[in-house]
Amino acid sequence: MKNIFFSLLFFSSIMYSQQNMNILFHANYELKFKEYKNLEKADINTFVLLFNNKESYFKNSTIYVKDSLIDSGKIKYNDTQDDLNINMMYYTNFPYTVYKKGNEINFANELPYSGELRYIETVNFDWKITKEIKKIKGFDCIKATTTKWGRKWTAYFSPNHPMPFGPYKFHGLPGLIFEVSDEKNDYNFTLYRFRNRKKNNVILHNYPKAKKVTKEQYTKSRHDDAVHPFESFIKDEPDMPKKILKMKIEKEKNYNSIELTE
Amino acid sequence: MKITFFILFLSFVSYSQNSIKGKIKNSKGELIENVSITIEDVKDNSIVSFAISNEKGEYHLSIDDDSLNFRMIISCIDYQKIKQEITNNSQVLNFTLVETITSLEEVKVDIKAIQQKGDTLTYNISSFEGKDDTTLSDVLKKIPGISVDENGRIKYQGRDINKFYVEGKDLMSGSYGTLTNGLPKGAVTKVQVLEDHQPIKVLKNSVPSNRAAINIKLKKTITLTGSASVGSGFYPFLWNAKITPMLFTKKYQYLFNYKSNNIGEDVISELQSFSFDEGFEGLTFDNLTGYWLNVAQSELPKIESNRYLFNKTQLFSTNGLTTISKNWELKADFSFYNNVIERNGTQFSKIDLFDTNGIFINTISFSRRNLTELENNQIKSKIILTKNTDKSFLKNTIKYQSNWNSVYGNINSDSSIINQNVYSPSYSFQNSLSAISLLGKKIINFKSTLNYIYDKQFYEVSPYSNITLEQFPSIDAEKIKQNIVINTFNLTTEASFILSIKKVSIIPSFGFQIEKIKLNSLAIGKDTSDNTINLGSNFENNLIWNKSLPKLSFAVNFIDDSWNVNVNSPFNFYSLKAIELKNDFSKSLNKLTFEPNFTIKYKISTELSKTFYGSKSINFGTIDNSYSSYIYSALILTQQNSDIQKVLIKKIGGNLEYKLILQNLFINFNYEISNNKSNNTITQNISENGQTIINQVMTDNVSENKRVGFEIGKYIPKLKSKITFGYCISNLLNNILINDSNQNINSIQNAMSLKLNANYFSWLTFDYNINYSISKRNNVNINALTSDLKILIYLSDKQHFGIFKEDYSYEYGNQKFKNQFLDLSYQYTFKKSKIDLELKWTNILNTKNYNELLLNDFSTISNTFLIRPSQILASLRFNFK
Repeated sequence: MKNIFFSLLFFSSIMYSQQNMNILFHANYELKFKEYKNLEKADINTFVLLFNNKESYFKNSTIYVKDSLIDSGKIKYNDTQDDLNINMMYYTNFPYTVYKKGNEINFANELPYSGELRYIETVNFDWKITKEIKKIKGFDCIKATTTKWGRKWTAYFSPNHPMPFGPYKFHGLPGLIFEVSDEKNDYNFTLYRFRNRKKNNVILHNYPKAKKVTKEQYTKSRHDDAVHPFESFIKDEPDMPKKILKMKIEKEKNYNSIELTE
Repeated sequence: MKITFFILFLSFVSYSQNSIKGKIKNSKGELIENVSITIEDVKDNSIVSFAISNEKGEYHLSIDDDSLNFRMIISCIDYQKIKQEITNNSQVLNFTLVETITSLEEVKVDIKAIQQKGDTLTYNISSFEGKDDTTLSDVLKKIPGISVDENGRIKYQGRDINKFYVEGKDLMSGSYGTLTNGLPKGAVTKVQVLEDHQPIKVLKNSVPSNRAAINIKLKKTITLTGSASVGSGFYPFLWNAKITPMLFTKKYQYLFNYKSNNIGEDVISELQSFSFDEGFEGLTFDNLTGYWLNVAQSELPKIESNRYLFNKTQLFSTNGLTTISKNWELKADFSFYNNVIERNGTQFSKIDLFDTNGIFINTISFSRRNLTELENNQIKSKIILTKNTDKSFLKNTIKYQSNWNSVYGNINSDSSIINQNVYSPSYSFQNSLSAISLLGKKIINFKSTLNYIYDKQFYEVSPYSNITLEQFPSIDAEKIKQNIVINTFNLTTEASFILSIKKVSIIPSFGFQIEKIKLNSLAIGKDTSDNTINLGSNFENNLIWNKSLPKLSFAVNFIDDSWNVNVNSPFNFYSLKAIELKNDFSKSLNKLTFEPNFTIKYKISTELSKTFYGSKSINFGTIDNSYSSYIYSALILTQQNSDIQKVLIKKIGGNLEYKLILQNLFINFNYEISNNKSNNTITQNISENGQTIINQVMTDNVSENKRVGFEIGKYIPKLKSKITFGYCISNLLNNILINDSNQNINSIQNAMSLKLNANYFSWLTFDYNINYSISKRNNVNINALTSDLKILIYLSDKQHFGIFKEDYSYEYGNQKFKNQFLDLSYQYTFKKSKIDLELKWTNILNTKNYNELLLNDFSTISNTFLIRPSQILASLRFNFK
């Protein structure tokens, strides 16, 4: 019984790891963000949003490039010394993936200390569409606003691109979101490229081995890892040096997650 | 009460909320999700309400507005959009969408013209191309930092590139001119400049290279392309045919090339190799043959050869590359040409002689009208096998070359006529091997080159009565016949180890060179009935030349992000011997030398880098300057029977490169000083008609060369223009013995150039080059001003019109020469078939001769050369898709 169970699990994990998606459109976003409030300069990461008329998939460009190179055999990944170099080369602090189908969002991430985690949630936005229009990358985009996760968000969507998708978990507007940012501009996603895909079939690499947790569990782990002062072994030391503790407090104070509340 | 009711009613009216719902499906009856449903205000198109259909195709929206009419829009990718006027009522509206293929308007990234990543600069072709560009070389010319000459030779920052790749593969192995001139620009997407490129993968981190390579990125993985043109014209009957198909795939690359013309286009020089390899790929070289015996002829004009080249050329070449396995690559090249050339020039030479105090002694001056006819034939083939991996490298090159040339020369000098003939058959064979492999952290390199040359030449001069050299005995001869046969065998082997310790690599090497040459030469007289008349032992050489050279060297390289240091310190033990079999001439030399050289490159920042180099070396004589008896060539008798020559050469130099990628600005500053000291001096005895006797004397001779130059290039994206300014000054100090008096030569040359290339207007492109030089030797001054202008006017996108003007003027004292050339061209493109029709009218002014003034080592020359007459040529040109 146990064997069957494991082989089933194994089988399903293989099935899952090779989850493919038929992609029609490809958008690239730049994210300017401050993960800690005390950062002087915003960090920049780029993401890809892949979608068809049913589902969308959002992923960090760096990881996307790495996975594509592995898929096409341009880099090999076989647990040797070189892997470390590959990992170093394609390192990013935001390796998460957001897969959306129907109303459901499947979120997975690889955390520095807690490892690969996944949760599934349903997110609804109460968008207010305004009459304001802004030209972004040559397209007339309509302004819409909403409140979510303890932040006031402003989004611009293009009615010429009638798909209800957007970066991160943002969705539900009658057009593709070209830009979305919060009031303090702590997180700002801007589209810089959009194209019709020629190569349609893509393997998702959606952290198939990730442990499934509740959103609360994930949020806690994410917070712990984000404010974690140092290497993991320090965690168990009874008298943590004051400096490190101070660092932790400092980080705790300034930690500025995209989702401040539920 | 009434009021309350009224208010209630009013509020009911103003807050009437109508809801619209429904289902959306497609023509197959399937329910569609993610459909955008928007309700727009008819007046200002603003969105009043919206909804997105769910997985069941359902939508639901409410209208909080009291307008009477709205516009409802249903849109979804892959379905046709529906626009419908609706009234402000609660209602159920179902829709059926019709499938369509939608391609959405894309958001393009602003592609920068130049991108830098590490040592790789990537140029987007589309940012640089001009309207009239058809080939890759046309586009390359417009890229800042890159220059291309008419043979397709590419220089980056003023220096030759070391590799030319297409999709990372080196098909042409150096002779890439055919490719740059034949590859249509439309097949290319990007040009990459790989700076400091080490082509051998094993050496990437241990042996620095300071040369750049070019890689061409094609638009498609399988590209069948190339270009062809056929042309014809008059007068006389003219033809020009070129056909260069090529194929690029991941596994194979082929290029075929056939060219034939009599319009003055020099297509042979495209075959020459321009690449520079730094020695680890093994030593291969073109064997130079047929240079011992020549006919006397005029200097070639310093203008583009198509003005004066009266030719009939046939050329065929093919290059093929195949990837045998993942790491092995096989290349085979073959070329053949037949080239018939006629030259017609008149040269007036003047030599002023001074004594040691600089006081004028006398002047030798003579003029010659030279008519020369040449026929050159060559077959060359090459097979190269290469393996290039991170762990090992192997390259073997087999080369065969055969030349057969004949030259006829007619000299009319002060109404005395001299006829000369040269015939030179030769062949040579070469095998070169280089192997590099990893042994732990050590790299071992083994190199070996074997070279064999058979070179035969005949020279015939008549009539004997017009040969005035007193060394010839007074005999009753009709003509002089000189022949020479040289057999050369040469073997060079070298083994080296490369030890890399972090950023430092140490390369000890030892090698051996053996050279054995047999030279037989004989000059005889022939009388009117073709009987042989012996000229004596003074005109016969039977020489054996032996050279053996064991060498030991020690090289150190250091590379990091900013430093690139290369120090080489070889010890050579020369053992040279020249033995004449028929007399007692025997010279030998045994010497141990130390000949160090170094190159230091310092990258101060990504923008600024400095290079400094220096060397000390000794050039020992070769068989070319050690033989006991006279050899007669080009109306010059030469005998080199003093000690084996020894020239000590010291050289230092450097350059500074500054590039601001974002500003598209490139600056290059360079300088070099060299000093040569020889143990013997050439003496020349020049008679009144220019016939000369050359000997050697055992006096030290020093010459010194200095050069400073800079170049600034700027590309202005807004104006789509490139502007380049260059300046160079050089100085040569030298001693020459002429007619027993020592001549101190001090020559200075100033040269400046300005190049302008503008593509700003869509209907006009403009290229202008102007060069001004002042050449000074002792008290002789020659100024030269040359300029060329090229304007292309686009009458429509199908046709353009070109004006080409060249001006060359020379000034010496009150003597002035002016030469002007004007050409016109008209091109019509048949859009459908993509064929270009070109009409070209060259030398419209029908300039008959080209006149120039030149300063040579010791003589001042005025040269008049016959120019091709005014001619009209029509050609059709097309690219293979």
